[in-house]
Amino acid sequence: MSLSLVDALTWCARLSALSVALQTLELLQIRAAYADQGVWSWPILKEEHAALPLPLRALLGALLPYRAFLALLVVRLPLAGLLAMGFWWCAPLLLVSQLAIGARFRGTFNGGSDYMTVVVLSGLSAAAGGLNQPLLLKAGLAYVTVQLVLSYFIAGCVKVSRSEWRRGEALRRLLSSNRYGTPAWISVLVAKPPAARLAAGALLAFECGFPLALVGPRMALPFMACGALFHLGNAAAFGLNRFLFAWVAAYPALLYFSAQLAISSFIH
Amino acid sequence: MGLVVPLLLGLGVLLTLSLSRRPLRSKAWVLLRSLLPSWRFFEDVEPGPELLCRVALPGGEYGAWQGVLQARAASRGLVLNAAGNLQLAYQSLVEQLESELDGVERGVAPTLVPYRLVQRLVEQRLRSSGNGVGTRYQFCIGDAGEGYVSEEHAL
Repeated sequence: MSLSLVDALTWCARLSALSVALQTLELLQIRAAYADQGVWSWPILKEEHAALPLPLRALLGALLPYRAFLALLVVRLPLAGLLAMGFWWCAPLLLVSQLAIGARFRGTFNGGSDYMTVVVLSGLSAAAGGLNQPLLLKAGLAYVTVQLVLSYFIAGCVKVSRSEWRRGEALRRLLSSNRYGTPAWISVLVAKPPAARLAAGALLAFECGFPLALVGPRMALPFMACGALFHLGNAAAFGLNRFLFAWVAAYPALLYFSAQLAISSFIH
Repeated sequence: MGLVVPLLLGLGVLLTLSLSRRPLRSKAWVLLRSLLPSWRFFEDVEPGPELLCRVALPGGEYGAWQGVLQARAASRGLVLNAAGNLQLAYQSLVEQLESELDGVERGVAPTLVPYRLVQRLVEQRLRSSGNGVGTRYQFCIGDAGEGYVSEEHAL
């Protein structure tokens, strides 16, 4: 199975639009938290913007006060719908709005899922800048693919360098801590050291081995399936639901490049 | 235009690799840091700093330290999880304050933006628990009474 360049971009755009829409709905649900009387109060936040370069300060000053920010979020919903329908000019607008959301929460709202959403929207924005230029389309998808592979590989490398991860102890502690309110039935699965070691070993092998997905679609598809299950597990265990949608939006790019690189075709 | 965008995207990848070792510190980059991702997930599995607070009614003594951010209910949405993600954002805010308190003189701490945001979070929780005007409180980041203890404030 492989995708054409345009199909890969189209599916990245559709899945990214879904991810953006869900994130936006969540932010609208918790609007009291960033109202002027809420925790992330704009009158307080703007004080630390005084040292920013003037153009950036002016842009944030226009986008981030409560009512303007609320309007920005509302506008993201139709923009996401239009992006899903193939109106590529929406990608750079959504990218700017995504960066504004990060800035509203002093960097990111949800860490990794914000990073990956920005990555995919950056790739789509690059592609939107040159719909008649295959080089730009490929550059956009290549950026998404490289960042996707790095996201797993770097995460795997930092874990594998730590003995507590190799022994399974870190995974057991992570799942049994109160930090994410992990359901008890998940903690029980890795309560015994051999089970924790096995689960951690599988996780490290998946993350460190992820670059192999570039070998060809036959390798990419199982890695993508494992990745989707991994993010589903993270959503159930840690409440990291946004990661599932943000990462899956990048998978069509990987599928496209795995077919393009197709090291396996050289081997055969 | 033809080569500029691919070069910029390549630069983004190189910066991502470089920042995986040494994060940027400037205020503008911190605010826009989602442009340059860090993929070091779960490098540290230690539980983050705990946010605690204690209250004293007007004229009374302080009670025991109590957790402000309660563990979330086990049930959560796989598609939409606004409340759960808000709790994670609160925890990140506490971690930002802990990080920014490092090396800061005690008298300066209450002027820090994350200090004031965490203060609002504590006050919000105290009011929702039925504490009224005049209630004094302190918050603490870390182990009860051993981490950073805030100034005394009143609702």
